[in-house]
Amino acid sequence: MIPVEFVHHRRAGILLLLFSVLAFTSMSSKVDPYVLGLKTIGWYIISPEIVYTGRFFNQLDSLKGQIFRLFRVDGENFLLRKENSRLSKMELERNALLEENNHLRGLLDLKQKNFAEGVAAEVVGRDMRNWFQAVILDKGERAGIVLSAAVLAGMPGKFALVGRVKELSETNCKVLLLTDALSAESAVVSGKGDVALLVGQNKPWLILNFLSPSSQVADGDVIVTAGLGGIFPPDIPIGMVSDVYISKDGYFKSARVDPFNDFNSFREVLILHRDEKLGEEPK
Amino acid sequence: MSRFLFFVTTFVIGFYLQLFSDRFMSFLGVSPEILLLFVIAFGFFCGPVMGEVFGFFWGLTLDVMGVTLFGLNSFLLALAGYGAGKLRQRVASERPTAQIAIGLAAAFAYEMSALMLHRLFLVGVEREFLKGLLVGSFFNVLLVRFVFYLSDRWLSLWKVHQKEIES
Repeated sequence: MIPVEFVHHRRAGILLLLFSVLAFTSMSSKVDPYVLGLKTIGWYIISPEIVYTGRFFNQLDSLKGQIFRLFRVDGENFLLRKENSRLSKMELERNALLEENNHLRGLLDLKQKNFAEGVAAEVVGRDMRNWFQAVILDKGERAGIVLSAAVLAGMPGKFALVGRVKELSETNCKVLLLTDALSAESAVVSGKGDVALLVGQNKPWLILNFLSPSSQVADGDVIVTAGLGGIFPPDIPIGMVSDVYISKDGYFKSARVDPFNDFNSFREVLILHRDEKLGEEPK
Repeated sequence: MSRFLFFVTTFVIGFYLQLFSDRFMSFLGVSPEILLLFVIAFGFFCGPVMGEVFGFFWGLTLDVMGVTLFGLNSFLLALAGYGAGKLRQRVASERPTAQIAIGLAAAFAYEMSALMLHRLFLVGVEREFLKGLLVGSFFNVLLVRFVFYLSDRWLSLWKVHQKEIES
């Protein structure tokens, strides 16, 4: 008879012995039908768990792949956005440079062809409260600018008058725009010879006053400088007639003139050297 | 009842952890022997009986899943659990360095024993000893601390730890 206390104290060793006997029996009798049967029963019990777990792990694997793909796509998206932003910025810069280049080329072309004594200048400021009245240019006396010099702007081949130099300092000057209500210049209807007074309205258009009632002026006629008074050289384009009507007093015709230049947008101008022999600035 | 529940739950969770590590953590065709580490941890924390019982049954599951020598894993894991339980009074298993040494020793002992048993029972079938030893050691060193920590928390949760020490 084996004492209970003996078994209790040595239960670990006894269990190990038992497990070892079982394991070695299995190992040594691997082809024995009993062992194979035992294995088959064990497999029958655990195989469903293995199958379901395998499926679950497959889904997990797929999810993992999708998450990684999502992160990769997100990263690519971020890089592409960055690249897109950079390219957009470059495109904007390129367009701005192209536009500026065209302006400068046009100015240079005009200067070479027609007004050899002109000076190109850049608009550096505007009268904020009176948008249609004055602009500030970055050239002054030092560049040979004189008072009342004509200021032109526009696209290549479409240069037109925008105003005249009103105030002058050494390094900059202020230009009174044609649209200013104080601006009044003699102008002529191109091809028809009608001379009249072009007056600013503090609005984006001008009014051609004191046209003869018999004038043949019509919509679409081009208005150019008359060259009278010695301020501006003749035949500088100004704008186009968009409406003709009888003035309020009934004695003259008047016409609305839309300038060729958009007074909101020009950034480069050409300042013509005024011919001193032509005359002094009007008071 | 609580003891039975503990055994069943631990057995099932350990089995799933091994499946998980087989699937997602294998390297060069060798997966971590998570169950070996758990058996050793249980042996160290609760004594040889707990270690060898878990070792035998988990090993049996591995044998059922495998196609090689039936009984090999059940014997080796039971032996590992018993050995760890017997050594628990002599090794300060709570120290990280001791745990790493245990992991390395376990990998070496397991691979050596498996090789010997293979040679003994399966004539002509060679086991990849070196690869198993190197990758197994790497995994054991990597995971042994985590497994010991997890086992400690798990046993504390079931309050089995204390009961085993008292008994």
